[in-house]
Amino acid sequence: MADNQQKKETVVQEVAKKKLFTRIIAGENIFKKKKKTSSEDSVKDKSKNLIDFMLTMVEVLKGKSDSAKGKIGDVKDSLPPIVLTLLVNILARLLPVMQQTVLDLLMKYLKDNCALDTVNLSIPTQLASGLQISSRSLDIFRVLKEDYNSKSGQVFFGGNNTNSFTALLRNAALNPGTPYNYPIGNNIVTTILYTATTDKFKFTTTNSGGGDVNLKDFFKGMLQKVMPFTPSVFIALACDKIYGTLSKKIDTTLDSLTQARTADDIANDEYINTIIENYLEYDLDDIVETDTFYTFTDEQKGIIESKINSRFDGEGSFVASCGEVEASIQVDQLTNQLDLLSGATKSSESKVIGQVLNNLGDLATTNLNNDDKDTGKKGFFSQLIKLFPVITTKMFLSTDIVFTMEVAKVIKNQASSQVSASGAGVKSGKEFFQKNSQIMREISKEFYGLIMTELFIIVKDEIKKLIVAQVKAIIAEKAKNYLRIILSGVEAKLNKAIALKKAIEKTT
Amino acid sequence: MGLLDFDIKNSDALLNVLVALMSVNINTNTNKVPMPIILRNGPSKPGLSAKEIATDIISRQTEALEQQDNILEAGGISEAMEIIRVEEIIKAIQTKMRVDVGTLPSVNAGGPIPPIQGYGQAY
Repeated sequence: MADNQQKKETVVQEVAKKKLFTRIIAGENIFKKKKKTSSEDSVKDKSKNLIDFMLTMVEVLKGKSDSAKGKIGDVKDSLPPIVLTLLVNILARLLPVMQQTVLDLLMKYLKDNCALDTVNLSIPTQLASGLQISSRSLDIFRVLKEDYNSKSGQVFFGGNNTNSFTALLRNAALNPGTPYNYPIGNNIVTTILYTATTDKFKFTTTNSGGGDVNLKDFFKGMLQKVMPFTPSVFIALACDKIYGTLSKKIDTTLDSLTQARTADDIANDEYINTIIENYLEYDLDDIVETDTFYTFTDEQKGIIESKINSRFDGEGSFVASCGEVEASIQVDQLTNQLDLLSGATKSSESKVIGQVLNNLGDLATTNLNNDDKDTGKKGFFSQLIKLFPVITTKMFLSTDIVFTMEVAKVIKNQASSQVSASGAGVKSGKEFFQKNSQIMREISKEFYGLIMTELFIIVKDEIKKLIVAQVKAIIAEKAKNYLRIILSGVEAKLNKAIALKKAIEKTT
Repeated sequence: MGLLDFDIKNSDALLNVLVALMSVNINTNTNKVPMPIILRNGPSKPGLSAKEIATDIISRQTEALEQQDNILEAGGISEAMEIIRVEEIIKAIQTKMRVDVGTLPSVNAGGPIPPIQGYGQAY
């Protein structure tokens, strides 16, 4: 009898799951309130990227749990605080944890691929004597043309550190033939030398204490010295993705910021965005032809083309439930907001991030009438959440990480001469992703998983609230059964989620 | 991440967990009616009435209509109505159905007397 009941419950669950999944895969609206107007969304209909789905869950559940409590008046404004709170929480406290999680993933990849557990393993001879890599192979986002002293340049350099690996690359590129030393730790130093005629950097890694350079120490040192993720960089790159804020060509006669991106740079960036989005459309254990990620449909190509043009013109839009919201955020408007962030203290940071996001939300909804502004801002914050895995994956791929991966490739292939002899590695961002397909899939999915965990905790909490609210409304005898179920089932799962949240908070 | 007991990056695993979270059994408990209640209330049960059951079902139609805003569209109004219908029928059987037992006069003295059951019905 119990077996039959068990089987019945399993069948019911399977049916419900299949219905849910079929609707997502088919792009059918699960929620009646959902409204799609963007052609960009239509491309993603078959996606297994469920961030949008979870955001809709948050919206619907939040509204329902509030209305169940009789607070119907609060429902309209319920989403901005919850998504804004999530964003602030992530940007103020969780970004470093997320970065470290993915750095650990990369270290594991390096261990597996380069046999790092081998005792006294040295760096490859090419790196000890001079490993040549073309600038395009390292600079996959074309950041070296930017001036790191400028406000917008600091976004591309990951912050204001003139001794960072990327800053030294730029210095070396500006002064061909002049060596620049990058200390890695444990007496390990990498000397960077640029040759203009070949457009290549030469890296020579030595041990100033004498002897060979330990490969594990080299990798650990490189990963430990990466620039930490900052809220400013995330916000700026997200605005650039939506509005082309940093991509817009600036008239040099009117503005001193002359390091504008070229259309080719923006195209390179947009293709990388699309590749990462393609990764997110599949589960890691899905068997997918590798070309799938790097072959673009005509619809995708059309969207990319139009995105390149709009970014070049400094225009952009996102989809909110009130429709497509068009606006532009100028570079000075953005950097003014980022200045507020740099002036924040540790204790005021969360509050300031909230203010900055609100201010940017106001700019994003300038063209909306007053009735739609709240809905528009809600869409803007949701858009930032949706962009999270794409932006963080790009933030992660600083030049020092790319350099580390290039060295790993030399070791893995044991054909290092090809790197220097064949024009040195990749020629575009797309090629870099193609050559590192598996690890890049895993990295982007790791960031995806981290943001999904945060959304899941909210959804679980809202489901619990909804169930509790409904329990209160039914007769006492039934309520006992409900509470028994809640206490034994949902509550236990919720406690796990709370424990997870606390663990993350503790590490920050 | 590691503290979650499933791989949230896997869409199938996530949907499994979400469905499980939302699958709370809200059906009426169909346990047996306790013996003392049968003995005490049995004779006073009114019997089954199609009209009364129908009235109870109709009075709960609004509950089914509320399902249209459900988190999941699994089933919707028609399935909710089906559950309500069966719940009311089961409730009526458990609380109102009367079983009258008659005994035929025995042909052979001392032999087994087969009881004959008649189901009470109210109109």
